[in-house]
Amino acid sequence: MHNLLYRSNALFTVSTTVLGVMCLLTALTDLTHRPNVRLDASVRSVDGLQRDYGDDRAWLSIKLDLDLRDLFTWNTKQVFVYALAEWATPRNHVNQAMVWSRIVQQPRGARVKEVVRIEYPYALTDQGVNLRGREYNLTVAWETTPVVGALHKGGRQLGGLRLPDDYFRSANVPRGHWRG
Amino acid sequence: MDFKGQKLAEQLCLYIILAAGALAFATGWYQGSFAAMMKVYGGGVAVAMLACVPDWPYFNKQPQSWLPSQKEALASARPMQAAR
Repeated sequence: MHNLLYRSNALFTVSTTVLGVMCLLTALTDLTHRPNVRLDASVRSVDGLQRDYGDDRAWLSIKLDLDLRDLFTWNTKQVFVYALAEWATPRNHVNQAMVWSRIVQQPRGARVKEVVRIEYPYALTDQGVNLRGREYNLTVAWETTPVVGALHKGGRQLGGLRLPDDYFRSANVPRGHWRG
Repeated sequence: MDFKGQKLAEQLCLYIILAAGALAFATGWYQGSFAAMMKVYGGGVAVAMLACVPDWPYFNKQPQSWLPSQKEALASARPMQAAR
């Protein structure tokens, strides 16, 4: 502590160490937080099922009623919320497609109540022609990005959904292109 | 800065920053604001920097009194070294 540089160095070291401890404590406060969120989703309609260049593609409308406001604590930077469709085919045991997503940065944006019409390129696209009559799950999930500390996530699955047995389309769905 | 002053500077720095950290965490937790925590802590570190880093007069209250210099003894030792 005998000169200016040495004292500055000591101050810097102590202040960053204490800052680290504060950040650790902040990260620990997240562990006691049990968020109370609402994740209601339903498939309002299937608008079309088309074969497009040798791949099946399904157009869905999903109804979302989400309330993620309770995820926001003093250590939340943003929340990523997404809807995921999953199905299994003989070719791929797991197919996952993210059909909708949003980044929420303020609690006032964490209330989502809307009908989402899933359009290309988010429309469910299979590798192959296996979507007719196919069962699938819809998952609504969230992940939080903290200011400091670990990422937290949660979600809810809506299971036992089934696509129509044959190709069809409504007026707002483009006609599929058959090759050859 | 004398030796007592150095010890005082070190302790002052440590305790001001520890207090600022505790106060900042309490404020941030209470207000639910990470930014508030950083502002209070930044203020505390600035206070610690002002109090401890410059060589203030209160670090020089107890100067060390050294033994008087022994110029005569050194002077008589030199010719002996040169003679060897």
